[in-house]
Amino acid sequence: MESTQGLPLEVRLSAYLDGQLSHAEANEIDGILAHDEKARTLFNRLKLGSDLGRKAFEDMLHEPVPLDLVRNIKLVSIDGGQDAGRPLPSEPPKEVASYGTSARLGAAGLVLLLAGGSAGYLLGAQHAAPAAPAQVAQSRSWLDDIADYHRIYARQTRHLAEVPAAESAHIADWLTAAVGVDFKIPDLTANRLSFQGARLLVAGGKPTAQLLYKDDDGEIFAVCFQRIDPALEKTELDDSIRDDLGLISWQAGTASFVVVGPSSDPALETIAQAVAQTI
Amino acid sequence: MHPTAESNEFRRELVGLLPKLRRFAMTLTRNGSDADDLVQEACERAITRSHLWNGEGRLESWIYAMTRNLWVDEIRKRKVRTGSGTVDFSEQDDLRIEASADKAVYAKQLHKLIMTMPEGLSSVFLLVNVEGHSYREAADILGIPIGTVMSRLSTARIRLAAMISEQTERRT
Repeated sequence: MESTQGLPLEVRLSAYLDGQLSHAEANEIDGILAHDEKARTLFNRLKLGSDLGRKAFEDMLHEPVPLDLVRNIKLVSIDGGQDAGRPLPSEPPKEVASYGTSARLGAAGLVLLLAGGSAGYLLGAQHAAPAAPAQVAQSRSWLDDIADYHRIYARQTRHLAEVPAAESAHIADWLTAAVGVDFKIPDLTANRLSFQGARLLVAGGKPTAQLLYKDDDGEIFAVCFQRIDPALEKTELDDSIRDDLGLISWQAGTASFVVVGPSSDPALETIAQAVAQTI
Repeated sequence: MHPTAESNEFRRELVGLLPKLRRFAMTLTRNGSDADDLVQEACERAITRSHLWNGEGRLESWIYAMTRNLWVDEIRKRKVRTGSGTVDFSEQDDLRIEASADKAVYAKQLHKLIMTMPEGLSSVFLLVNVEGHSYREAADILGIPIGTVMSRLSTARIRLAAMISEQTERRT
């Protein structure tokens, strides 16, 4: 509790309004308010200002958060700066930037990195043209295909899935045979995702299963997998971003897996963990 | 380097706090673009120093203090004194709140009002009156004495009340 003895009346009344006065001081203010009309008027103005300002600040919480902020939180590496672990052919050197530029650089981090990669390709093309197409081809992975498919199919509200969720048993048999990976359709209802159905895709030149889910807000998530040479051991979840999409991938047994959804969804990794445990 | 599970949990908490962090940053910068830059810088610093967070108290208080320190550094770099660049509250004719305005206009007026309040007032008001921080917590976050918190808070309340009551008086 704070003492406001000797301070202006409006400061004392303001502290009284916040319940920050000692019992004795609060009693004193009660007495002032009971007998002093000017004090009551001042107190009512303080309350009016409190209510008005609170309303204004509460409204500010409903403003949309820029996606760049969310993405950059996911990309900042623990030892500072943007995570450099993305498979880019040519990465510009890190620079120490001051506040005001570093933040904007961070927001445009992916763009700059990609621009750096493209610039590297263009410069390299002048000296070693035959090598450049190979670099570009290598920079695309099955995850890029998955992201492209997701952007298209997630908008197909009436034809989201090739085979609907009602035929789950058939989906399991069909995709096991087509992709060559034994799996169970993950139940993600605990993650507020309902199974919608499945598709068969070609990603990175291989048959790939796509299991589609929808959350309460109508956002589409997908679990995709394809057969690979047997992995020695299950890998850690790897988080990457393709513009508006977040992808969390891993390898286990004879398959590569990825969970894809909005990059702004902080629950994406939790969903991927649930899939990794149950699929 | 892959983020650890602990680091990911910390990041998730940060994402959840973004609306509040942006709002606090707005009271410092009074400019949306600067506020977003400031929040990003603060989040980056929080992640790289997440091992220092002891889990006690409110995470946002820890980051608020970080945000405020970053902004003070930035102001120092820009050689701009606190509060400069804004018109004095009492001089702003267009900041009257129209109580009878439709909801969208009213909300816009309120937002504008907040964005033009002097930094020293709006930050204290937000922390104590809106988010329920104690005077001591607000003083620690903002790096000012408790007495200053109290005086700024009462000034903010009276100024806010003046905005709407003067408008009402002019109409009658």
